[in-house]
Amino acid sequence: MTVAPMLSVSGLAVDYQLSSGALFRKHRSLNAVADVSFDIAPGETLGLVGESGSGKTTVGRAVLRRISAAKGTIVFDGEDITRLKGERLRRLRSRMQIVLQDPYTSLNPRMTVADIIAEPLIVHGLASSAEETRVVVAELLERVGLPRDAADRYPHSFSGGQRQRIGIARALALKPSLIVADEPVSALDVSVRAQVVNLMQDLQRDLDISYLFIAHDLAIVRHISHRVAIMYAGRIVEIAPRAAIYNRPIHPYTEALLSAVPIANPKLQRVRRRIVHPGEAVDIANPPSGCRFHPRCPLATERCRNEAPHLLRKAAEHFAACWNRDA
Amino acid sequence: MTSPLLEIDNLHVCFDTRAGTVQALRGVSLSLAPGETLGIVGESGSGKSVTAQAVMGLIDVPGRISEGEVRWQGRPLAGRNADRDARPVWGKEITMVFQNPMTSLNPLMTVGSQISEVIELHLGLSRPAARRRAAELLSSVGISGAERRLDQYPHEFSGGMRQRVMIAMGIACEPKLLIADEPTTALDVTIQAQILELMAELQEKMGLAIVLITHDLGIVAGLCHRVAVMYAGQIVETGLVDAIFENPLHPYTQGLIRSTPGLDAEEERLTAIEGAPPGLLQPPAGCSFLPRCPIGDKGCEAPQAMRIFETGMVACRKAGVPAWSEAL
Repeated sequence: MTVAPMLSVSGLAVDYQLSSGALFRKHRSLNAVADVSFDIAPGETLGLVGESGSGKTTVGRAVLRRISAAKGTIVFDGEDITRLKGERLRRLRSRMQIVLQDPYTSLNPRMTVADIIAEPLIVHGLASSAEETRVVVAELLERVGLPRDAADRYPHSFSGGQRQRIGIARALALKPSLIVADEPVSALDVSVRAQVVNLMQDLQRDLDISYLFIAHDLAIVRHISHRVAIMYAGRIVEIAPRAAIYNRPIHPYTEALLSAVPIANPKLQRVRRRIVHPGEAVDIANPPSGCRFHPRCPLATERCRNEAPHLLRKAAEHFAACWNRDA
Repeated sequence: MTSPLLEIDNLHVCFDTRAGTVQALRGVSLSLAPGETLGIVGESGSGKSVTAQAVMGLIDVPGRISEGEVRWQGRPLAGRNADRDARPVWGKEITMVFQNPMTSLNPLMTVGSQISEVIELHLGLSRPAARRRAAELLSSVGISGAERRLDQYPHEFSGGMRQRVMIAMGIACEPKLLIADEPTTALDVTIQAQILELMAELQEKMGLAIVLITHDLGIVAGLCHRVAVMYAGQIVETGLVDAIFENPLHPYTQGLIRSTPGLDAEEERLTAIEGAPPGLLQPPAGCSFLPRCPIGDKGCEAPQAMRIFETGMVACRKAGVPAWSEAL
């Protein structure tokens, strides 16, 4: 890529402290994600997919500096933000925003929509007058397709899809360059989900925003993403442009995951063969040695049991963490 | 065809709230043959779960069945003329699996005693016999080390394993009908696939009829013979799975299928159905999809009769007209 990335993450690791259950005993730490590296170009969407507990939300939170990285660097728009503090961190926060999953619990029920959307402007000292704030809020409401009179109402009078639009308007208020969207449509009904996905795509086209789109729904991710990263047990196991991931998956886990997605076509769905890897997802408090997928992997060899693979280049922009399989 | 196992006849369910009466179901009729799998799809609030609750006799104050009835093998099971003697059917011949296995299992009882309880109650087996049966059931739903796992508590099971336990309880008394309300919504996709395979396998082995409530069209496509599409407390379209996916007739069904992205199509934009479903305090008298329908007109303001087609039934006077243009 010739364009400088908007976000560049390399070697990211995040640890969580586990309580040992007993007083005075040494706390154990849990390695939630490790060795995570990816870039997002300006105006690009990277889909981050994985099952529950795979660490995708942790990656999103680390990128936003809501939790600190144990290892690795996060470079945002050319600046290393991994250890940023104080006022500079505060200023950075206006440029990267989050959209959360549940539009029912992420909006303050006692604030009007206008106040919810204007709050970030006020916090960051960008609202010069009440009049100007009203104008900006009205513009944002129009931008996300909400009626003008929405400003003076409270969240409870809106449907799920409309609430997610409010959340998006709030995220847009500070004109961010990057939005981390953590399962933004998984709480919405099918027909409404399409509205929000279309809105996010329109906003990206008009405002050149980069998205880190975190989700477990592979079909939605395929639709919205330019590139896709698949996570398993705290590691990225494969990352590639979306056509390559969906048409020519390399990692055995990606293959199994894709084959498990039910597709809305009865004739195809009945004859599809699911690629089954026995066993349950790993307990990341006690991960297996070597490649974390090896206990379930049909291709596992001695090397996989001992040595964890890094993301290896398998084709032009196609990386997979597998010793045994090539493009 | 054999006589139906379950018939739902013009069912109306209301909930009395402070704001007024919510008309959750407005004239739902369905029938189910033995061994058949029926999918009920619809958005939240469309009445899918209330339909299941009515069949299971779980509608309680402030809810009530205001009209219509549910018949089980011809006997009125729920509704005004419900036959009290038919009640033991619930939990024995008709069982239900819910969405969240963590909240539907008792956290203070071992899994074994929860399964045994059902067996002792409905089949009158002795405790040791019930325990042996419980172990068999756990193995039959693919849980290994069944003997040992009987003495474990729900928190010692993963989400997928808990849902297997729920299914084991659901089939403990060899029911004729299993109602599964979003059984895999809380699960990861690989685990979901395992649970759906298990259900298909049990159905084949036991000749079980299944009512599968879901919002995921992909699940319906893989498992069901027939589908009912619900919208705002009514069934707007029913039909054979292949026919509905290939040639959806109701504008809502058309929109629903087109707004679901696939894993291969190269669509630039998803079809979005603008707006939201109507409130059910004062549901519209005519077609409830009219405000969101691209091809609706004046004539749709009157109540829509069910029109019968070769492969199903549709409540739309413009059924079959393509509602969403190709280039949106």
